[in-house]
Amino acid sequence: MNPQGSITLDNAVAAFRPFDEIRGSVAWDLGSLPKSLELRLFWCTGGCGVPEAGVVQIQSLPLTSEGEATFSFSLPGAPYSVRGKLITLTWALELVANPIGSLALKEFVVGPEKQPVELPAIEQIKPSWWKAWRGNR
Amino acid sequence: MARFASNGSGRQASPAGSIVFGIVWTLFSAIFVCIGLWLTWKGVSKTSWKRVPCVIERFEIRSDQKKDPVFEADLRFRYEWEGKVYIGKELWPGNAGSNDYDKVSEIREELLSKAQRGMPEGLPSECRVDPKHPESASLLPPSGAGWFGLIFAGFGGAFMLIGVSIIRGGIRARSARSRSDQAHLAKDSPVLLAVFFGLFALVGLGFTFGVLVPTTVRWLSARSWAETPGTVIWSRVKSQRGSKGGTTYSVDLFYRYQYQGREYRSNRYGLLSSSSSGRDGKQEAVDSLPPGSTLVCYVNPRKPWQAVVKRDLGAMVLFAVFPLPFLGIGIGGLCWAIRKRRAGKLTQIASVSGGQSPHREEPIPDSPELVLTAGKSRWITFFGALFICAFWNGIVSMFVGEAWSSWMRGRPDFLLTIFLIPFVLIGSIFLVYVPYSLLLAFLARYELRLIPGTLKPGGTATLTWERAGGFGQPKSIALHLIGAEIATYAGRKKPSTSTSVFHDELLAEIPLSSIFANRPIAIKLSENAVPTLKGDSNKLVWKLRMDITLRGLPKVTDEYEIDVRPLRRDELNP
Repeated sequence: MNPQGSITLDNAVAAFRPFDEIRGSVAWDLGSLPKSLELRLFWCTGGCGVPEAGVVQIQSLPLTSEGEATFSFSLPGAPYSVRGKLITLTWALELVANPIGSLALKEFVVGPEKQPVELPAIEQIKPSWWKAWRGNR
Repeated sequence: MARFASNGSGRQASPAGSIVFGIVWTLFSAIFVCIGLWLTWKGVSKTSWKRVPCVIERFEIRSDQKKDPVFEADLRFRYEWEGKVYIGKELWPGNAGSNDYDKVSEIREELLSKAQRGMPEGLPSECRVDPKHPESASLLPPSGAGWFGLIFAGFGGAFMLIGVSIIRGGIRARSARSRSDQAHLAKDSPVLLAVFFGLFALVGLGFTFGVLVPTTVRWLSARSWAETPGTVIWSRVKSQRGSKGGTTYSVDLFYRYQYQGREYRSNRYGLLSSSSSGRDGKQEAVDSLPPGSTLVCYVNPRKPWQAVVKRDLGAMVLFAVFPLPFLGIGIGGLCWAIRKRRAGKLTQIASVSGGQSPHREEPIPDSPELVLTAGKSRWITFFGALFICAFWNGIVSMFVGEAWSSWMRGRPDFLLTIFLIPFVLIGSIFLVYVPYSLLLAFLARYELRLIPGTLKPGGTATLTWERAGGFGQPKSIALHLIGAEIATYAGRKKPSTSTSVFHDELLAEIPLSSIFANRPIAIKLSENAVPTLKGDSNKLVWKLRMDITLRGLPKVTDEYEIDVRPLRRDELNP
């Protein structure tokens, strides 16, 4: 049997404001006892840059082969979810067992308006150094 | 501890592949470390030989073209060890001579000049005796075998370090089976990069100070050496099989000359002992100097046993530019890796220990006022440009001088001249840019005052400016608020950075008539402005840009980074 896990949020819409409380439940069925089992609250970047991540909080779960638990995290004030031309920033909850790895992942949005901040790409025309010099005459 | 980190996902080899590659790499590098350590031990063990008084009975230099080394010290010295008399014949431990005549003759001549004698027979001196095998003795200690071994081991060690980092990265990647584990991955990459670029810099520095500087010193000194007639003893083209299978050639010339009534010999043809492909040029030189013919050599008046036939560097000058790319890539890469590492340390934003742990974010501090002064970055640009210009043109100028003198002598060195053209052009650009950047450093500069010093989404601030010095009559000033995404990604050959501007707002365009009025400018950030993000590879930055248009002078642009902090709990809309 394949190890399974799920994350369910109490909110129907996976969008929150900074400092909101995020609640829900997790369930797992691993088939064997894990060395560690935890729920991680983290953000990560995507886009064309080298991915970066920051784990904000971890909730340890009972070391049983199967089970259910509820969770509650207080979201921090930043960073906000972002959708830009080069960078995207996403928040997520992840159920991780050792040595199996990721069992479930739930993405959500964090922003003052419960929306990711959209960053438009503005065309910038830089004047050449020659024009910069000549332009002042 | 969790932190900003990077893993370059999608571009990395599989963890298992990385581990295997890392192990093979490390083991291969370990061979070099072992050889280096063995050489060091061998060298060091011979330096522990005991110094014992001896008497030199004979010290002549034998030459035989067919032998290796060509020049052997025909040496015999008598020494005593624990009451028993022994005879020694070695100049260095395990080595009786050298292929460079002046290396052996220098030892003989210095012994004679110290004792102020014309012949070495009966000369008291000191030799080194192996205490375990007293029949083994040499007149001189081993020449640098220990240092060579240590350098060899050091290089091997650096490569081993790279291998260990690859294995460590592979193990971490293997254990990282979740997306949140990205936070722990590849945070060693700046160290790995620093080692890699450090090796480049070491090769460049080693070549610069090991070959380039001594050769240049010798070349400068040889310009004042005494022009002396000499006679060729033998001349031939010597061929050597290269490491890649090709054959290289060199001029093998042995000659004698008289200086201040004494006869000396030398086999130094050029300033740099080297061999290269292409036989014709060397054959031509040898044909013009058959045995018994006369030649002109240049003798070092302070050490008359040193002489050279060709004292200009010729095409060998091209080697001078060899370390430049190594130094450029090495030092530039090192600075970049150190900055990356420092940036990584500064941007730790979350703390996680076992169990449940509260979020610990480093908040952007609120400051009531921020004073932004221009000028520092302009001076950094100037001194950076000056350093690069001096370094580049300093080296290039030596070879330009060499090319110039070849033209002055009426025998222009076309190859060298053509080769130098791109280097001179680059140097000329630096020569123009240095005074340009110096001019910018002295042009009108302003001090900006932002109240409050930290912005927030939906917040307002006031900006005032004041002339802080510099010359030039401003025609107009434009102030912009810029927001930009900056992403660094692993390119095919080197990391690349892309920038995309998401906000460019002209805050004010101040004409000449209003410049002195210094009216405050109001800044209003939109409600959905994104707060500053300072990651290793992903940044969201806000800047104030001031464009100063001056009469008859270049336009000056100064940029000042400012912080936009996230909203606090009590500032969010209900």
